[in-house]
Amino acid sequence: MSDLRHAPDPDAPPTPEEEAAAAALAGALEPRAPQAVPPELAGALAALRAAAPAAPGQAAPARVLAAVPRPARWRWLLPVGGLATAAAAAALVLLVAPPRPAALPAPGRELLLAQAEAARGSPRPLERAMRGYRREVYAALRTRYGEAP
Amino acid sequence: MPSPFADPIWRAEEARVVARVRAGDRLAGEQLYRAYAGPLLRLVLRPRLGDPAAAEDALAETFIAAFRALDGFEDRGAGLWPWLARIAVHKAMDVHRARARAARGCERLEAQAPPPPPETPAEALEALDEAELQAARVRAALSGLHARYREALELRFLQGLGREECARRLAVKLGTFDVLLLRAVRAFARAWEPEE
Repeated sequence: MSDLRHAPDPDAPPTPEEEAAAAALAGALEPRAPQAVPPELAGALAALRAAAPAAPGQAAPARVLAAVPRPARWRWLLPVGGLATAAAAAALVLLVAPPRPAALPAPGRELLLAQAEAARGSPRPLERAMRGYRREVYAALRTRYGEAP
Repeated sequence: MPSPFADPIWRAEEARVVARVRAGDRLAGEQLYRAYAGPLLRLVLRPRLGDPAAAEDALAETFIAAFRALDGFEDRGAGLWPWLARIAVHKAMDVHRARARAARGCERLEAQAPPPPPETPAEALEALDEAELQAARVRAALSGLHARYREALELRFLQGLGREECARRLAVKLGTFDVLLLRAVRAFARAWEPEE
């Protein structure tokens, strides 16, 4: 397959035939206005062209991606509608769900001691402690539920 | 990127990627481009256009047309390939029609018309394999040529450089390069024996 024995010297002066044929070949390879391909070289030229690596640019050109269809205008409503639906469902749950109970104050040490005294037969300290504790409980209920109708 | 025809995962994924492109997903558009750009260039556009720059331009026009018409695509079992290949063939013809000598160009193209693109993924895979084998044979033939002929052919055809750039790289005048290329192509044609 080696052509080294038959190949003319690359640097030898061209013959008139070679000059004409070289101009014709250059015209045939011209991308914008190609002339007729020399028929005796057509097969070889096709093989050479086909052997070029088919490796386009790694990324798609910007103008190609710009042709990707844009979503229809109304589609932006889908996520908005979804949010609105979720918000309405949350509001409904809050409205029908039972309210959280009020956080009542824990009985203090004085009240607990007064209870012990009452259990031993001395109710007076308990009455005093309960008055204060009741005030605290009512205040917590007012804070949570508002004034009584 | 591996051929989409040989990748079973891609074949199953393609319908989802197409749906995402229809919904406006540009990353999905990039995926389709990367999957099919190589086969479209090798099997459809370069055999019809030759010039690498014209082939790449037609490739971009192919995908632009495909993305705009994607809503009309209907998969009939062979995936996106046959539809894309038909668009590419039309774009190659558009390139020829748009040139200054369109009428003569079209006649020559029809007279030397390459075979129609493969219709199915299996046929496309076989065609790509055959193209790779042919490319290997070309490289083998090039290896037996004089080094200057081989370099001229690689620059002009395998790298797709214009004649001015080739002449510059070889440090010769433009006319000298034209003669060098002629001798190189003739030498290659003597060495090249296509399979029957």
